[in-house]
Amino acid sequence: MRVLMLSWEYPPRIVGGLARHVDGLSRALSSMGVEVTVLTVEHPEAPRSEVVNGVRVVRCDSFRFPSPDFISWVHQFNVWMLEEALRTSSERPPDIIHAHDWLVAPTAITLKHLFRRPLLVTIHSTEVGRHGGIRSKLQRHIHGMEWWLTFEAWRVIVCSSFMKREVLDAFGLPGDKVDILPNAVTPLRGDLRDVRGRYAEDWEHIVLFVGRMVPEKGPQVLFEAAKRVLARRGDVKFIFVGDGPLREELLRKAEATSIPEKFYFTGFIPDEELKSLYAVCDLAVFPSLYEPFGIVALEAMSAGKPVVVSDVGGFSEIVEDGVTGLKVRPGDAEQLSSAIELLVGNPELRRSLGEAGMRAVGERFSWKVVAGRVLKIYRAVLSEYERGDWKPVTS
Amino acid sequence: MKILVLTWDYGETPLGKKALRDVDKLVERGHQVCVVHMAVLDYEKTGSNPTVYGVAQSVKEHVNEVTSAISALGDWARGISKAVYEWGGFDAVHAYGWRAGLPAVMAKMAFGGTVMLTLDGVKGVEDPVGGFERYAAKNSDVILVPSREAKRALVEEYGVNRRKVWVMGDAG
Repeated sequence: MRVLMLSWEYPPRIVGGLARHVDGLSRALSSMGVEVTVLTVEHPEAPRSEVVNGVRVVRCDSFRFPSPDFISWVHQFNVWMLEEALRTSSERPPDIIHAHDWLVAPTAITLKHLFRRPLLVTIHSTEVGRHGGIRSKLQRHIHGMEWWLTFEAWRVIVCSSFMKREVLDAFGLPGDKVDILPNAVTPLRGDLRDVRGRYAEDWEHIVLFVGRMVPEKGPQVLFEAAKRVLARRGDVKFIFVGDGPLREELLRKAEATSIPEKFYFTGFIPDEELKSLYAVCDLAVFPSLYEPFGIVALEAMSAGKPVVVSDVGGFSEIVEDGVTGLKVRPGDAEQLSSAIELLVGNPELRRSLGEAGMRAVGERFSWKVVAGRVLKIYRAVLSEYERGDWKPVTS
Repeated sequence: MKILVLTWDYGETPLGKKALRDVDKLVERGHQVCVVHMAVLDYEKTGSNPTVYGVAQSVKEHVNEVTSAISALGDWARGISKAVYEWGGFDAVHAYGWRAGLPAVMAKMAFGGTVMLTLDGVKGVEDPVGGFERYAAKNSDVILVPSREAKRALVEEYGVNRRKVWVMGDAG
């Protein structure tokens, strides 16, 4: 079986969780005998074509002439992505085209029709969900692209029941067209040496946040909770990993407190450093207000760390309250501070939650498990396709 | 000869009227013609010459001309797919305007054949869509333009091979 995977993000181009998802899925499918080609956008530190762990990766141009804005740039690279796909696949088209998110919609839909091959789509988040509604012309365009991609798809994959409800509401899809498959992670095993000392004193407990520094991820909620915790005990250090518009604002607020040394805003850090931070932290906190899935919680759990998450979106489905982590009301800094203090003061609870979380990741959220389910969907789609008359043959 | 005509407008604008007149002449001369154009709703006119596939633009709201033209590629592909698999394929593609030129180049890459592109003017490299027009022109086999000035712009600004550019009085 030949699968053409389309994604604008792929390592080393890592913007959000999409790159790691496509990478993990592609590797796992390849190990199961699927011939996977990932078509993505060029990156200065990566070759235009390579084979990584059995996956063929082809990177198209992204910039042949200036674009006035991000949305025009996205459409521009779709032309070069399409050109690359036609150059490399016209003689031997894929059996399945699998597109990830609206940014590759023009390429995916054009290839579907030119090759007459089934298109599968994974929707990782929606414009409606990201912004709590559709207000501007740009948002209406992106929403339209998302609708179009899901309309043209043979099947749509989402990562949680929460996301299924969201795509059904947003795009008016029939429920039986949408499959729920969770994200997965490759277990993180970081290097402990020297890392802890760079971030905290030996006697400090490390509370770790990882995510984009945007309101929907809730770093501002954690900041308020941290102030409450620090008012009651001084042996805690809060580390915020990630970049975004809130980073500078929270940094300024931290500097305005009497204990600025208790906050550390790292900005973006390399994967290896992140793995090490997961390994040395005492607990990880993800206080999102909107969360389609929440792969960061799986990363922390796979490192054996207890998590505190807001009871929202995908987190609600990943974490079993009191068993594999603790859940708090989204946006409730007081409840969040109580949960953090409970864990900081209770090493036995941290250990039991961490171990249970790590087990859950192995059983439900490994790439072997998830890719096996994706492969089942591919086979079902190909079986339906073979029985139908929509084929690349002339009448 | 089997000719696939791609045109955004089919009769409504000067370039669309030009496409309509050209199709009539091609049919008169015995060619098999299939027209794919943008329409309000998808429709088919089959069983006679020309065959016409109207395709509606799926995404209705756009930020600028680039997002409109490129998000329409999937809609063009819906029509081209019908031309290839239901009408029976083509020997040549004739595209009217740069927006139809892009799917024409894609059709050539997927299925072969030659591409003729009619332009009613040249936007130039400073225009936000000039890069796409240049791409369509450079990847076409023959380009018809309405004036020597347009030919000069194609050759000097876009770097198009002058031997494939033809000045036709009624090209625009």
